[in-house]
Amino acid sequence: MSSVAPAAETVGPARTSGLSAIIEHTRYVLSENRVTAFAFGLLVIILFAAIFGPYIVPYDPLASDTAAALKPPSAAHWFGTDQLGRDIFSRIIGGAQVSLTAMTIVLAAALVIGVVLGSFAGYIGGTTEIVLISVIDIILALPSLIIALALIGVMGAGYWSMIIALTMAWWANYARMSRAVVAAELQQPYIDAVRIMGAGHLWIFARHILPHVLALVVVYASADAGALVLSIATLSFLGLGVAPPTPEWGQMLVDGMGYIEEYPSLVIIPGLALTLVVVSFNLLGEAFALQKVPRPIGRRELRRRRTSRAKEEAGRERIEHRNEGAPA
Amino acid sequence: MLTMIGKRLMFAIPSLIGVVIVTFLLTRALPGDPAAYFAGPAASKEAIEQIRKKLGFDKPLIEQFFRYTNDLAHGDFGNSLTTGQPVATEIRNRLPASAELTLLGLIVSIAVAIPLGVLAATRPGSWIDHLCRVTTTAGVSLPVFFTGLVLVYLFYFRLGWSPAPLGRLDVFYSAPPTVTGLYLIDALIARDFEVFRSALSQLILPAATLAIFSLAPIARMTRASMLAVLASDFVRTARASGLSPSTVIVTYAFRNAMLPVITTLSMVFSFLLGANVLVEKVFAWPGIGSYAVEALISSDFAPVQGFVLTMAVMYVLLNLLIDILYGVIDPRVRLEG
Repeated sequence: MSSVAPAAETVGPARTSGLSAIIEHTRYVLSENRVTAFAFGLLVIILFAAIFGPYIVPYDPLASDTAAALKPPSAAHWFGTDQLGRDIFSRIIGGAQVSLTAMTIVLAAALVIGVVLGSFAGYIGGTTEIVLISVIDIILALPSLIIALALIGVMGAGYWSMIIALTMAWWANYARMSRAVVAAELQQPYIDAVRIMGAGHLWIFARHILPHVLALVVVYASADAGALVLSIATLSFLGLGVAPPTPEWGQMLVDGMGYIEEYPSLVIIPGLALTLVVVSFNLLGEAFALQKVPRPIGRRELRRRRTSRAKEEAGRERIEHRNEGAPA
Repeated sequence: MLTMIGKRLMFAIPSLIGVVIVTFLLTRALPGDPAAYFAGPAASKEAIEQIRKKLGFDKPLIEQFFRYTNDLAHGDFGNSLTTGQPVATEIRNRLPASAELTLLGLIVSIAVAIPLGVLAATRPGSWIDHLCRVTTTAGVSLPVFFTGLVLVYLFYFRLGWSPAPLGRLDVFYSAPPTVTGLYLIDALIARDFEVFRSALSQLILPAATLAIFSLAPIARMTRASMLAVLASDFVRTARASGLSPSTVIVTYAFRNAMLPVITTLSMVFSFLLGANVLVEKVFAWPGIGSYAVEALISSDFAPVQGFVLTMAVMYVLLNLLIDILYGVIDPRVRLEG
């Protein structure tokens, strides 16, 4: 488990001093790459805007003033106004709040469901495990947007249907990962040792296995944040997510579509906001997912760890008894 | 080879059965009384009861399921509530539009991404490598509908180079006689080059939108896999034996590097199926994606179910095709068969 351990030290709620290790690791990752640092800075600003948005926006994002409709950017309206005379700047910030809140809810729910079900199946084994694996396989066999669309078809369009549909489309991947980690971890001799010492199942799981699961799954989940923000905007763009008049970027885009010839900024500003957030999340997620090493190490050592990691992954795949996909 | 295909088919079948079970359960999970739902909002009590009998909702669940699969097997996907047409017919009419768009998008994306990835890998650190990195980051992060709208704004509204983003053909032309359903091919068969030109000009922007979106994973995988292969022993040996760089890259490295890229294609296709829905909305494309979205907005479940089943079948079949392609390229897979 040597190569998963560093991740546990840094990201999981783990054995070593949690918070300071996380801060140390974040500082290391950011100092590595200027682009990543820029993405991080941008996200901090957006996060700030999303949290304190209602207090700092100059206008109510819902207040329309038809006399001032479709105005170009000015000192009074930084990004101009839309077809109903609403301040676009305020709506963009309001949109940040809506998107990030929805993303956090979905990610948290998918993580909890995935980790709990996946770990449970991996720990119990037997029929439960087989049933869960087949369910996961079916879900992962379909594009996530299609699954979300099917569920929305049943539940009807709306904010909470969107949240539930996205959660249902997203949890399977985390469940699969959790199950694999639990199955691999149970093979370790120290688990037997702990068991002989009289530890109960819950204790073994919470104290010894869960940190490993979280270390891996949380890192992967953080890399999914960008894709989720995009999915939320996508569903809202299709008219199946956040409904007007609530400000949301995808929905602002579709609202502006009819005015694109005369007022392209109605489309371009929310589009750029969305793109910037997704790029930042993706760059940051990638930086964290690829570099789980807390201290700077040499290239040779990095390569050694990567190979051992790859071997371990392969071993895990073998344990899963699944040889679908192509043999490499 | 045949045994390998058979084996892959065996892998594909469980996922298909799973999808059928899931869509069946979803229909039964529709809020309220499914019979009332299928009867429509204006139906009387007797009509609802009649529908219940007709659809077999009074039978036990397992019998309903067999009935359901039997209907599916006979191509009966139910009727759309809004148009009253059988879903299967509408999907059959609309599928070629989506297929033409997706395939062209995939072809353009492969044609750009693979050379880009190979060039980036053979010249690491050069401008083309940076270009590759920027394109791949942008490609995964740009919302498809945003790319599409920006392209429409630039090439239709500003430059006026492309036709209005409204469907598959300019209103002045009528569709070529249907052979394959793909307008480009049908127009060529009918030797109607005017229609061919019109269909192509309508296709360019949506296909480019799909390509921009899907080239990122292909280019990234090509680059990574080329780098790995170029660092391997047999490439070093080939170089040391004095083979020309182009022989080494094309014959030795490229073929081996393509294996993981082909695996990536199945993921890319899954992305494309989703992205298609958005592109069809932006370009008013009469495909199955826009059909499904319209149905979703008017909560008409039968078309949505037909759409999901079609997508699942296409996805599973494509994965099968990719596995077979893998066997064609890599003899080891064939032997393991």
